[in-house]
Amino acid sequence: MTTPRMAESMRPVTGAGSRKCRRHAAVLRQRAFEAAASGPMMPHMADDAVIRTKGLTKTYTNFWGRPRVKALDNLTLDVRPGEVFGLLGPNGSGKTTTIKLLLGLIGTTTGDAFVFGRDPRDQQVKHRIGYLPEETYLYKFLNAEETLAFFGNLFAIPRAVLARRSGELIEMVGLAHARRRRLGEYSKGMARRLGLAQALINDPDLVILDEPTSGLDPIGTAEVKDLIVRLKQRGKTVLLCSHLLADVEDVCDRIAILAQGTLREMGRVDDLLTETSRTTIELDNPDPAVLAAVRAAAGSALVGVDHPREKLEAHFRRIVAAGSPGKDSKP
Amino acid sequence: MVRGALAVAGLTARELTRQRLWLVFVVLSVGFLFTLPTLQAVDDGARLQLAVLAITSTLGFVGILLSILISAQVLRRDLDARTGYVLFSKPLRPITYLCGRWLGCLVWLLAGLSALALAGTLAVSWRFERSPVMRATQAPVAWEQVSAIGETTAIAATRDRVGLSGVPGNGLRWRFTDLATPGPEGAELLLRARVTGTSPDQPFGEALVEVRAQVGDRWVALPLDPASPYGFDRLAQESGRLVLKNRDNASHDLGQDYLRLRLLPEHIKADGSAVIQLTRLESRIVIVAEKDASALVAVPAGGLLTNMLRGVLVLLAACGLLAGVALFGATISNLGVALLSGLTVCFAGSAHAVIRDTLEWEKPGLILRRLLELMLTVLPDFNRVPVATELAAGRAISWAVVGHAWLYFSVFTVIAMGCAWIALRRREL
Repeated sequence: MTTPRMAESMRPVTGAGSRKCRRHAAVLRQRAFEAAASGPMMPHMADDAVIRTKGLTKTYTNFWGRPRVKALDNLTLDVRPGEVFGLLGPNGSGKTTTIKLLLGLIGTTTGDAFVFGRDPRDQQVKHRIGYLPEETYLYKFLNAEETLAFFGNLFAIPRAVLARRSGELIEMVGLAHARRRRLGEYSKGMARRLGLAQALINDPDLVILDEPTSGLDPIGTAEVKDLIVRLKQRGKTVLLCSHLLADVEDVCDRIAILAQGTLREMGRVDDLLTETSRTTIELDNPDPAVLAAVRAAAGSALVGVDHPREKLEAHFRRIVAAGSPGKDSKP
Repeated sequence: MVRGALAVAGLTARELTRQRLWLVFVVLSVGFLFTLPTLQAVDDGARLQLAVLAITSTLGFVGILLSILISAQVLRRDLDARTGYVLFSKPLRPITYLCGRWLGCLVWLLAGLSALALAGTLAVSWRFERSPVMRATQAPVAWEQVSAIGETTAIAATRDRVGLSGVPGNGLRWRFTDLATPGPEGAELLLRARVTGTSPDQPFGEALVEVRAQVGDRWVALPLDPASPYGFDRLAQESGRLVLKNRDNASHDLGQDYLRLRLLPEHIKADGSAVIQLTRLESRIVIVAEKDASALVAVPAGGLLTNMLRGVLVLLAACGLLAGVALFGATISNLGVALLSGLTVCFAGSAHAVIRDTLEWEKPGLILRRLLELMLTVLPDFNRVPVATELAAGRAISWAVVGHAWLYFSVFTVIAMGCAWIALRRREL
């Protein structure tokens, strides 16, 4: 039987860099995962998996209990301690349903879901989870301090600890200047930052972030990504759900791609994205003769020669940080 | 769980306050100031009674409406705005959440209704320059009929009223027990009865009577209270007699409708018991007395504000039930259905008297009879403690009444909250 781990370790098996070969490699990976996902036993899975689902299926029903839509079909995956796991997929692919199942907000139709080895509805499990939903579903009549105090009280955090942590989180998400302002007066990005703070109020072992950068400016986005990296460094496990593939690519160790409720692909980001059949050569101010020689040597295998581009996000951050837009601030 | 419930309760109170719903209480308080003096009645006493009735009725109306509205609204908002995603991703059990919401609504209502009661009391004091006296009453434990020759006959326990007619000199004897030792001014003995002629064409409205208390082996006439609303008659007083005026069942104001006599410490025996006898003196008059309402021993029991606040607590017990029903409705359906469910229970629970009348007088068919009897059994009776009429009648609301109301409504509240809990547990967010 092919297991996800085996599938993760699969590489493009064909050489020579042809598109046909790359397609073939993708098909093989896809088949491997389909086989793995449908397998009844997952003996390879680490026993200490933070999240583990096995054949997880969710069918929404109508008032009379008749099936309406199958949102998730036979999802099997595991998320290991300390890793940043990305859950990708287009709208309606079952990402949010998966998260709801993992939070115990809805019940499974068939299959099992375990978080920290327990039923997600277990209150002890919820003590160890921080959750940021895709929209900021917070109370608009509260201010930042009151919001964090309220959610902290749900975790029965001692008052002194709560006050300290609340202050730290407000500072961390950059809302110190607006800590007494009601959420109704917040911009979307500010509310999103506060949502992130509430997700961390209990210093969770598992952080589930649903579109964490939605509504944030590029600087906020970068800060969130930095935060995710810091969480990982502190040994926290992060389940990241996003449409912004660049964000996921930057911070995730492993990703799973869902489409129409089924798992299409899962593996390490580097493994999935690195095209070992292609090679990029970067030269600093190359001599035209050298370039010509490279072209000649590569022959028909050469795909293109171009100047590398800076990422827009990095460019934007640099411009804003320099504080003088329009000036040439290239390093 | 307790901390979680308190956190949710605090959130609810804060939410309702910041929605400026307290403006309802402010507007009504101002309304009291301007509308109370415009009330029309036959005299000042009746106008004061009407003012108290208006305030307490307003308290009841606002309490019932708001309890349904706010509890349904806060829960529905969490579900509709998907705040529930965040809430229930935390270690917050559905029952903790529901209890918190319920508690928060009730605490907020308690604060609002208390403020409204205070405003109403102040408005009464300001506009009428006095407050009604509130009395705690005690009904007799036994009563007997006394014939004209002094023979006593026990009255069957099933009879709740007795008519005195025929040869004059007959009467009624009431036994009171467990009376607290009154101060030097004594307690009050309140008497009320229907007074009619022996035939419909004799429309008499008052009767000469004697009222005496047994002191040892003597019968001592009770003095009339100078503040008694009626009973004075120069000729009658000279002969030691009193004038008892006709008061029907609808007239039960302790300040206006009862003949008021002083029950002095010497009239009460050492064991706290007292025996009072009313003697009918005119043959052309029929006196109809009620078992629990015609003779009462009364003592002052706090001011209007104190009793109104206790009345608010009684009202809150009913509001708690309605909030529970509304929470249940909001869990299973939308806001409209939740409001409708709360109001339906409220209206149905206020119809106990009508249902009983229907069963007694309309003689419905078997199926309808069974249905109505079932309704009487399962529906809460919101008129079980009629706070508004009691306070308007000058009757004090005791802590025992408050406890009784909470005990009674708690049973229904627990059922409603249990249903809401099951529905919320089963609900998929």
